[in-house]
Amino acid sequence: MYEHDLILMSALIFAPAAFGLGCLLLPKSWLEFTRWFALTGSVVTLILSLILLVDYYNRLDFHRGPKTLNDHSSLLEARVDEAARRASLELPGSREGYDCYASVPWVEKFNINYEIGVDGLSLPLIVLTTIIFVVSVLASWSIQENIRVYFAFLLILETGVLGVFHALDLFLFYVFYEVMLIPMYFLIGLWGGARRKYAAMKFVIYTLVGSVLLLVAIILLSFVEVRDYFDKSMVDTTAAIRKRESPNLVESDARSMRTFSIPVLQRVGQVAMLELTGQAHRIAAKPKSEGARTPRWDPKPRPDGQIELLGREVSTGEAKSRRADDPIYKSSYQYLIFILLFVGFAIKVPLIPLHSWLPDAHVEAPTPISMILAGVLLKLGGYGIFRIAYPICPYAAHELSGWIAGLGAFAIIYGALVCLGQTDFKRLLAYSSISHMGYVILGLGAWTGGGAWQYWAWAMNGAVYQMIAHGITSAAMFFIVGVVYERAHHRDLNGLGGLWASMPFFGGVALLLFFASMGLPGLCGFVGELLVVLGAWKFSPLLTILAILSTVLTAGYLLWAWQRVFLGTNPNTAHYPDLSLREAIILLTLLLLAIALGVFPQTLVLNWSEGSITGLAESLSLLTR
Amino acid sequence: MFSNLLRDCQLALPELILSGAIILFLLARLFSTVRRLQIVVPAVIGVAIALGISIDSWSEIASRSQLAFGGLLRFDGFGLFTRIFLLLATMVTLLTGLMTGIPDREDSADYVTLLLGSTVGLMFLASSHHLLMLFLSAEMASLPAYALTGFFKGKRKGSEAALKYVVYGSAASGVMLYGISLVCAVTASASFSELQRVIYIDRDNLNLNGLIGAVLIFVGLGFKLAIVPFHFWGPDAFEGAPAEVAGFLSVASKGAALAITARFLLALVGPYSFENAYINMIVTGIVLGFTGTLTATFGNLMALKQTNLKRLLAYSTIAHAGIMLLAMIPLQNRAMAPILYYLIGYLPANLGIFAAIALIRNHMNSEAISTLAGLGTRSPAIAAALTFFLLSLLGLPPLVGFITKFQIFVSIYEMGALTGGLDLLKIISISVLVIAGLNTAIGAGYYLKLIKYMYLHESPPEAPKIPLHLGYQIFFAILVGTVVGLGIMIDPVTKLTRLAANSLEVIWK
Amino acid sequence: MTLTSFLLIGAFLFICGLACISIRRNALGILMGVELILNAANLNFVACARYLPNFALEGQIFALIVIVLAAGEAAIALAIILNFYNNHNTVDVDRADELKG
Repeated sequence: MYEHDLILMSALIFAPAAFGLGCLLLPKSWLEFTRWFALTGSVVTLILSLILLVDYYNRLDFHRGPKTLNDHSSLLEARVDEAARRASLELPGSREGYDCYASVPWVEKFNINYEIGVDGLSLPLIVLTTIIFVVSVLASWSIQENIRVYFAFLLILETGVLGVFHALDLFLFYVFYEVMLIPMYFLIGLWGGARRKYAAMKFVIYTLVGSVLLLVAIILLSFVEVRDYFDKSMVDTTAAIRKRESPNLVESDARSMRTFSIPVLQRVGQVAMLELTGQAHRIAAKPKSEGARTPRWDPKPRPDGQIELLGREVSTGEAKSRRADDPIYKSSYQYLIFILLFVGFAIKVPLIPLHSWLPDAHVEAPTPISMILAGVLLKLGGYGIFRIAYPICPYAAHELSGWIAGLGAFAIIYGALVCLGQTDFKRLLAYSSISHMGYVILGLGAWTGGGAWQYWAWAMNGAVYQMIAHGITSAAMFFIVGVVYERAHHRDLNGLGGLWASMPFFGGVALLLFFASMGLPGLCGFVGELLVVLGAWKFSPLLTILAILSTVLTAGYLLWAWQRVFLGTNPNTAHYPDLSLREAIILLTLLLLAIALGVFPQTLVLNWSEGSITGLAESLSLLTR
Repeated sequence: MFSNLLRDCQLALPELILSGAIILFLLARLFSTVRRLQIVVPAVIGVAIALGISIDSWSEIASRSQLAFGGLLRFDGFGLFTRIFLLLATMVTLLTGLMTGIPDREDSADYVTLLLGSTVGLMFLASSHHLLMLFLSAEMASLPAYALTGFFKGKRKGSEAALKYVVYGSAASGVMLYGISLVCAVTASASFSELQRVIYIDRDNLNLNGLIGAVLIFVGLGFKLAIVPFHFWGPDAFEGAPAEVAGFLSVASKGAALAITARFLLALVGPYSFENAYINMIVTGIVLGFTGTLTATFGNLMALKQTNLKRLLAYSTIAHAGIMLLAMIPLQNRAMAPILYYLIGYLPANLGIFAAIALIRNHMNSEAISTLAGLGTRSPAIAAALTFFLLSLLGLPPLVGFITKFQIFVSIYEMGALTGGLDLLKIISISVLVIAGLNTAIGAGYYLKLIKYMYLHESPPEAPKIPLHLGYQIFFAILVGTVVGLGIMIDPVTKLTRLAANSLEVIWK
Repeated sequence: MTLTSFLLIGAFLFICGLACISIRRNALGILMGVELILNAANLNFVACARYLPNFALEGQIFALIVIVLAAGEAAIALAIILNFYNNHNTVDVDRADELKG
């Protein structure tokens, strides 16, 4: 059912863009219709993502106890290998379910593939994206100017985001990563506030610098010789084809392989880590075929501690001698690539010294775009570190984990402290985003390694959960600002007040959402922070205590902000109407999600996402001594 | 002998057709009836015929390179690819002229003959295999270009630009000629093949003269390419010249100059397999890397503060030339493939921008950046096309600018990856890569500034709408389509460019 | 007399030409400097043709072609200088300062 996966995922990626371009074709005067059309587009995308979720859910065999490397269905690498194995069989075997993985050649000269797939790491973010986009399309009803172009950009942006979450090929990843840039530039620049030109430009320049660093890292990675990571039979076939095309090719050139595929490069990084930590004897090849039967690959280490990272029937000795020349297995290269990737993504997260574009972009962007920016785009940075930076350069990541966790903890505290001094509502929320995303980085950095890998798995799960929770609460918070702004036409916290009296319903919903953002138990913010803190304790009690203490600050600035907006008396705000139906739907949806995710974290998310994330943490941790 | 000449003429048929067309157009002025005809249309037809013949001969020439006219010219896939590129550029320039009404009926013959003359020169330049031919065709391309720059005789800026261009240009070509004479004194021949033979086989003859000569030739070529520090004429010439001509200069003449630089450097350095080639390659690579990064960074930084559109684009052209120079670093045949792709992607984007500038100038009488203000609402079609072109120059996917930039970056890193154990080179190549990458971010500064003007600035109250009738909507649509299409259909184009680059193989025989 | 002495004379001429180009502010003066450089190259070619047997024919052809080209270049350059004079009433290149930045 390879085609099924390919078609479903491609439809999910490109449906929004198709609807977006459709928006441009509508007559100018059909204002209301354009809005409904865009809403249809985003809802269709949401439904497609839910279908994908069900497919993935069906794949999983989640009554088998704790999810670890044993679980083939949730580990992306194992599924990729499985797909390749099955493709090489003459008669495809029977299928238990869908792979949620597909690969089609795109640029053969560079071995670039249209390789897409999802696992428990990307799927929650994909569903989050589609939900946030539906909500923000609803929130865009108040946009009046040029709405055809507005919705076109919005939906093309969604295609870019979904493409990034699906891409398993670095080149494809980069293409989608850049596709987001221009729609975002226009969305801030055309429909933004007073200093929108400045903010849009700043956003683009920062993002572009980040993505250029990524590009450099991608090019460095594309020169890695990876023939030892593919099955020998596949390399043989490729070499035979190449020799037929140009007969005087040298044998070693014909067999040379380059790739942009993330799952393959991950194994390169893991081999490099074993090599650099003096554990080269643990590197082994995947199991050999016995006759016509090619056995499945088991990512779990063998009883003697060997890990099967090389392709089938690859000679470990030859692979070792080839590694001697390749610079990628040197620690300097591992550090270089990791830093390029990490800085590139950290700009997007944003991590503290690289964060200054975010407050400006948030303040100037229109409400729905702020919701998307905080709810979805910031997660791309975190996702990139999870999916690319850590697995591809585990050695450098492990060596630098103290610094990374420190940066995360620092971001939490710094963001919270800056929040206390803000009077602009949106700017406050922007810094609170920085503070909340710090938990993601802290969770990632808390690499305990060795036998204590469960703690890191907790922290990693917490980090992903934190991304989802923050996606929902921050979108809700920015919408709250939007509601206030639409009535008051300013965002100065000192000039507001007394909204509780005129808008009691709004005040109540807002209070609950503020609680969710604060991380009160029973609401979504709590789960992620708790898991991160639990996991990080083993790594560094000091950083963890700092992170816990800063929740007090978080509660402080959020409650203080709520108090300044809603309590007190203010004659200017007395006549404000309470929420309209549309606004209420948006806020209640988000509130419902916040409560549901807080009460049923296991049922709703962790059941199907945990396997992949824990598997990632385990496979990386087993590399350490 | 005669049959040889016939065969050579057949190989050079496109050039001969254009030359014939030039003579025809000059003679046409003698007859009062045809004197007032718009000559541009027949010129377009002539170029189209030449283009058709060139494309038709692709399969024959690309598979088998041959020397012609006693070794003066070399017809191979690389030259043919460049020739097709030049003809396309000329065609687009002519069509732009037709659209903007530059030239009018009165002087269309002058304009067309000069333009076609320059094109013929550039085509020969790109196929040169001999230093005499290199000099001759460079002059043949430059002399009409000087005149075209000052085409509006009454314009103060135009005459100043032409003066600067001609003074610096002739000085540079003089320097190049002197360099050629020094090289000849060493090699006793001016053929590229001989050059290589002396460098690699008869090494005893080599002396300092030869090196100085080669450097002086490189200076002359650097001037044509507008490489820092020989760039100063570029912005002045571009600003003073009509936009149509500036577009031609920035695309066609840069393209041919790059092609001949590639040929010359490959001749100097020789195939990788030679003894000593290694050292030459490293030295040349470092020099190229240094000049390339300097040029790209300087061009981009200077472009940031420009207020005149054409001047801004002149600096952007300089920056792009720097990046293309970087692509030559590996100095091997296949390293030239990304350059060809870059050129073919650069053509529609840059000529499209200059065409739009010419249109805007016609209606607003100014070429300042501020004329773009509010273009998004006044003339959405032109603004949208311009946005695509600018983003392609910036190198954003999925436009062609991205894939060409990507290929060049890969090619830069290849130098470090090829040279086995030398860590220094790896560090250099990675730093060149990082600088080149950061240049993209600097470039975003001014390309996006233009987009910002078009969409985020209010249009001035008296600013006119710019009408675009159907023919030219199609014209722009084709250019935009090329920019997008070449960015997605990567495989077929890469195949062509690799085939063309591989034909540079052994220059020697 | 050997080839080297001719080359030395050529080099002297070349340096004179370069100096002329960089010092003179009069456009016509600069043009003369260019001519000097071209003639320096020509001298080299002719000398090479005399002393290097393989280059005997090529050198002379080179020289002839360069002479023709120099004439063409001078024609264009003079036309452009004349046009500049019409617009600016001067041939001083320092006065060409409207284009900068």
